[in-house]
Amino acid sequence: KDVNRTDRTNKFYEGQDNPGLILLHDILMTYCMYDFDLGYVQGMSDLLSPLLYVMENEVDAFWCFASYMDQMHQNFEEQMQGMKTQLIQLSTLLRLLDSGFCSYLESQDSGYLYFCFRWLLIRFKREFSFLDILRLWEVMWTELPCKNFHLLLCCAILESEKQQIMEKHYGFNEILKHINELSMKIDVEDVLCKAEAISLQMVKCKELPQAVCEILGLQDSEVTTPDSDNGEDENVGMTSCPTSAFQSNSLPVLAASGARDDNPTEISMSPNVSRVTPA
Amino acid sequence: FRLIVIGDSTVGKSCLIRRFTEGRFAQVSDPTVGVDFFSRLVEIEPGKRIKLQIWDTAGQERFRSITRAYYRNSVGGLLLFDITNRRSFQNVHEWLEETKVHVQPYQIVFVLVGHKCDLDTQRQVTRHEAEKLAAAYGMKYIETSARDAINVEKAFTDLTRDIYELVKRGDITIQEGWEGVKSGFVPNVVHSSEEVVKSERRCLC
Repeated sequence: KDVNRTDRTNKFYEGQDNPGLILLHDILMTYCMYDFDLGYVQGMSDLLSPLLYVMENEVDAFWCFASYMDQMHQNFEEQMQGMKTQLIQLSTLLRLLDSGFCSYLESQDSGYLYFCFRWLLIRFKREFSFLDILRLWEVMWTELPCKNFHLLLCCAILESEKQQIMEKHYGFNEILKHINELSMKIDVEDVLCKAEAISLQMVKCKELPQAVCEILGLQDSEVTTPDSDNGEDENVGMTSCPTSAFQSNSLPVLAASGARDDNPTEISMSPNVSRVTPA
Repeated sequence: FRLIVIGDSTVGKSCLIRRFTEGRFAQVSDPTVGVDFFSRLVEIEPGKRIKLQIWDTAGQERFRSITRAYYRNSVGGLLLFDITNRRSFQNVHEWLEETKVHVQPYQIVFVLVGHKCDLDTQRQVTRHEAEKLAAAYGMKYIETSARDAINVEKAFTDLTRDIYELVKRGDITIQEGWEGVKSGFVPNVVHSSEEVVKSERRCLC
């Protein structure tokens, strides 16, 4: 039934009896048989639709979908364990980046970050335009610059909305409403830059908590082996950054790619990470 | 008042709420993933305005672990089934059991809604049997159509009025730590589905 309500404004799926719809339906049915225990869960059609659009072929799209589902499987299982894990991981990251905002959310009964449910379940599919999603998913599939990059995208969006949420003193209802209404209003380029900037800061951070390293897949190489010119690095970091930036808890960071020189991305950070060296 | 809208997937929960809060009917609407939130003011008697916060939930079983979290703080609910889908009617019983377990110690005032009544030719559930079921659980029964805007206003305002009476009689009390009913100042604006333009302009601010 959801086939008839997935991306129907897209040319590939619009109108009655569009062959795209039949393919969408057939692939989902095949997947139900392929993974009989899981069955169909709402949200799957959202994950398949862009794949089918690109592959234009039932067989290829099915296998792409099947391996995408391998990654997403836990999110759709009976107890949605994958969703719970992701929400916890997201809250771990957010706490490191901005413990003040985390505390605010907790004070509004929103500490579980349930309002990010849709983002995580279908990987922002409803938040961006179809073309933006093609771009965003491709970025996520590269696992670059780090594992679970989508969680950093969440952090980047939340960080952008933080000011409004806190200034207007949004409560439980308003936060969910505000987040849901961001759909189609987020600039994909901007979010990618901010998320990349966050990841760069995390990678450079010398005292990254073990839990965060695990989430982002930053083991050994970058974090645990200390740099030989450790102290110097920090000095460079301190001097190259105006002191005022630290006082305002805001650290200008240039994302390695994407951000232009005349347009540095600003990420505000809580004091405990402001010692990282800017990229 | 905080209300929750539940029922099987594809019975038309989101469409009903959209018609009520935005005055629009979408031919296609994406399946709800997780929970959506809407709000609107209703005037149940002259000068008495009540702000409704309406939670729209995903219908599919798998999402229950998330949607459950929202039952507890609701004072009222619309339990929807699709009159052209017998299965969704048969599941009404399970929905009631499910919510009853999860709202304790509180209670939710439900109204049973037979939705899509514009599709009378494809009807699989008679009005009589729906009324009987509703009566058995002490609920009111109403048939609505979001497409033709039939009884949509009535479903929400009647429920609101019933809850208001219960609050006035003291059967429902405002409690600390429970968000189902809150009293307080409500801004002096009523926008109904007929005044869509005004509400849209307000949102842009």
